[in-house]
Amino acid sequence: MNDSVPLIHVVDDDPSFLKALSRFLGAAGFSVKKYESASEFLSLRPLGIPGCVVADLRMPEQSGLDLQTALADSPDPLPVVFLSAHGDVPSTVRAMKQGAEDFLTKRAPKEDLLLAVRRALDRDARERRERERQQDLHHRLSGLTQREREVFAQVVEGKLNKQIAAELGIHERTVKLHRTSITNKLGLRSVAELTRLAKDAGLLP
Amino acid sequence: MPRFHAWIAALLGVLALAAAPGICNADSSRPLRRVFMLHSFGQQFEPFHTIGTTFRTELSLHSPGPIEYYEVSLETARFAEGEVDQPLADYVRALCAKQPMDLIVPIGAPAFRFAARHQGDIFSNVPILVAGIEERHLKGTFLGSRTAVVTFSLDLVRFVEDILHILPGTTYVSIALGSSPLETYWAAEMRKAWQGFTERIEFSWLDDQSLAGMQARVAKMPAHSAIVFGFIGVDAMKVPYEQAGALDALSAAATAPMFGFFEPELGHGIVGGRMIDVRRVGTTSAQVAIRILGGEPAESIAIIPVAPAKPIFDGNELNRWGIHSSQLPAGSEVRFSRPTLWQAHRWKLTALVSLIAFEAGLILLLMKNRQRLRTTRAELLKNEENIRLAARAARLGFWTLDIDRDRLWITDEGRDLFGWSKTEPVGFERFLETLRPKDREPAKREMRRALSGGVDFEREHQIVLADGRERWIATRGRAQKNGEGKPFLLSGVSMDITSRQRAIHEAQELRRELSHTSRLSLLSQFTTSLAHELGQPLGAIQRNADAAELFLKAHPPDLVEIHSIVTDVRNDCQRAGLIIERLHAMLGHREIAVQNLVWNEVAHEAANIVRADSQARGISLEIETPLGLPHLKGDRVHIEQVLINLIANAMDAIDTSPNGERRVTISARAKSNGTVECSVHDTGPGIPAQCLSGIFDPFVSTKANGMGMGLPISQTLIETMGGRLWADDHSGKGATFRFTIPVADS
Repeated sequence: MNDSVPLIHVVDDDPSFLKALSRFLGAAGFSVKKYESASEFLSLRPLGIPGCVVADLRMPEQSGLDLQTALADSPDPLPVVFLSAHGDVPSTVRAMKQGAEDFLTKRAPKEDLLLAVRRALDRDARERRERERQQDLHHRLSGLTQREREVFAQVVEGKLNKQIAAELGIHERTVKLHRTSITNKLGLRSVAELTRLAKDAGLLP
Repeated sequence: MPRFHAWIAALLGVLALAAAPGICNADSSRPLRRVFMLHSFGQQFEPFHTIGTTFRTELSLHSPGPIEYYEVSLETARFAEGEVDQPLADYVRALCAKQPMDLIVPIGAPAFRFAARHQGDIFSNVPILVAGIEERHLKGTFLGSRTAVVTFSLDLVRFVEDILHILPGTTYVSIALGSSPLETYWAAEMRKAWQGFTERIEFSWLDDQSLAGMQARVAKMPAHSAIVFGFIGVDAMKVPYEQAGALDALSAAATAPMFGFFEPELGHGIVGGRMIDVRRVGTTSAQVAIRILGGEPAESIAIIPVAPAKPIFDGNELNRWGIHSSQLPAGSEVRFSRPTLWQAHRWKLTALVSLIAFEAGLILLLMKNRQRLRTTRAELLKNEENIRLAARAARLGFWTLDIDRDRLWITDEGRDLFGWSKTEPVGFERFLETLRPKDREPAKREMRRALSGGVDFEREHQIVLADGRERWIATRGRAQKNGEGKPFLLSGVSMDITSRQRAIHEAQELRRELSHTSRLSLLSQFTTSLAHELGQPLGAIQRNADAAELFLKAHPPDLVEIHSIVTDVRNDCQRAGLIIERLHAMLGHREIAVQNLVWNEVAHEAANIVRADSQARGISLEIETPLGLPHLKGDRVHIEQVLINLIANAMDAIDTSPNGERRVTISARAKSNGTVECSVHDTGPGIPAQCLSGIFDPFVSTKANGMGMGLPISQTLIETMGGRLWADDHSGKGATFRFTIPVADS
């Protein structure tokens, strides 16, 4: 749905490292945008562009973890790769628990760094696609009538037309008509597909 | 002065009463009278000599007409009376036949007896005047007609009683007496008279002695003894003694008071007593002679006794024998009461005595001074000994430097101190040689300063002894100036302070060790932070290297970018290097290095070390630097250590109050007293009042794993730099620790 070039956001309060990392990632073929603090990133980053964040874990005021939390709550989250000048266990654990894509020291081999960035980008792409699909599904579900949603809910639970008719107090033939309308509206061809969609939409466990 | 002359005469004892022979002046109109004087021994024998002389003088003076004297001596009477009369009698007869005599005057008993024997044949019809015989001689003697006698009396018993009165303790009396018949007579009289005293007194008779023998005897008189000078005309060796010859000889040798019978003896060594006044005998005789010559019959005059004189004493002899005048019989006359030296030479003596008194005073003063000197000297010696002991114990060396001659006098202890032998001549140059080469020039400068500026020479220096041992010596000296104000001596003291210096050194070492340990402990809290700090430039270098690699692979390589990378890498290398240097400074052992510092740099360096940690803990660290803050004078590492310590404490304090603001502010401001006050403020809970006073005590910690050494060590470090460290509580709004550092010299 979005074919734009992924953008790597580099956030670090150390100007020298910020410059060096950005330079490297640029040379490695990535589009890079530099930020000297978490707040700068959060306020200035362009939205809706795939990519990832490579951020220093320790920064004055807002740390890398603060940035991640804020980012996760945003409508346009991005995976974050944490960097630390020196890796220590407690902060690593915290970072990973909060869903950090990766945690690397600033002097990690470039292969590791590039791998982490690519993985993050992949994940961003994947999540971005999924988010788009979900949005599309919700959009389609929002086109169903009230009765159709009720029937849809019964269908994805795997109930038979007869059971649904009895449940809703309508005729079995009416149930069939609703089912056809639902698959048409959602662009589905089979009940199996419907069930999978319902599951994706979070309607099924 | 006459008394003085009299005293001189008596002292000399040589005044002879000269006889005035021949015709005396008188009324020449009156008929000449011839007086024939018959002497018993010789004219010069006493007491007859005095009687004769006085008689002749008196008679000449008072006689109405001129008188011619004829004098003859019975020389033989000294030996044997009467046996050899005839030749003398013939001579006298012939004389008197030629010149008819008007008066015959025998003097003394022998002459009296001669006259008596020859009154009939020679002196018929011529009156006889016996001038002076002891009344004893009249006993049994028939006084013929035409004879008058002037007598005197010797009371022998009273004589001894008087001696005993004057000298009550007398137990021994020697009697010096001649051996002529007259003297022998008297010896017998005395023995007889003094029989009653023999129980009390031992009498020693010297009449069998020569004068020399008598002299020897009287020279060895026992205690409580007296000498009686009887009468010595002739001694046992038949040697005649005229006038006072024998008496003078004995008196000179006598070792006991000597008593005599006749007044003329006074002045010749006789103490005195009731003596026969022989002059009065002479005078009385002269008066009687005038009467007889005037026509008065001699027999009508008969016997005229001359009373004994009142007691007379010789003042010199009394003094000589220590006899006090109170011991003398009542009514005594003291003659020659020799004017004491005082009376005779009052002025001379006054002067002399004054002089002596003055000198005595001086001597006394001198003696007292000497005593005091001796005491002082003893005390000095004692003090000196004490000082010596103290000096030895304290290893003190005293010295004096003669500046012009460069000669150093120094005690043995001092020589030991500097490692000099006891005999080696030393001076300032030698002193300099003892010092380590680098200390010599400063010592010279100090010396010049002491000599020119009038200040004390004061140095602590290290010397290396011959055996390689090192010794610290403190020397202090002061210049002494001569009259022109030029210093010529430098005196002082040197002391071994090796042990003190060692103790100071050890204390310093210990303090440094402690400060170092504390620093290590402090920094260990920030290892992560430090690693993080160092990780920044290293990470940048790593990434730049990676980038450069990629740029190099490009066709064509982006050389501009690569050049930029090289520059950045170099900068980061420098940055990393600085961090390592600072770490090394913080972690290593080091000497204190006071230098001028910029507050901002020091504060940031300290903050950088803890920054990563503060960030991890969500604590903001702010540094405030007012404009125009002066430079500080101190040791960079120590100030940073203190700041880090205070920041660490501040962060820990903040962690104990999880809610609220989490901020540490480091700031500084110039004060008017030449210091900069630096402060570390936190937003923690503050310091409980009961803890405020004890927080700088060692081993006081509110932290679970705190050793409690951070603040005491920080305080020591600040105080070593001349500053002060204290804490303020802001009651619930955090705490502020402040310290002062002196402002750098501009």
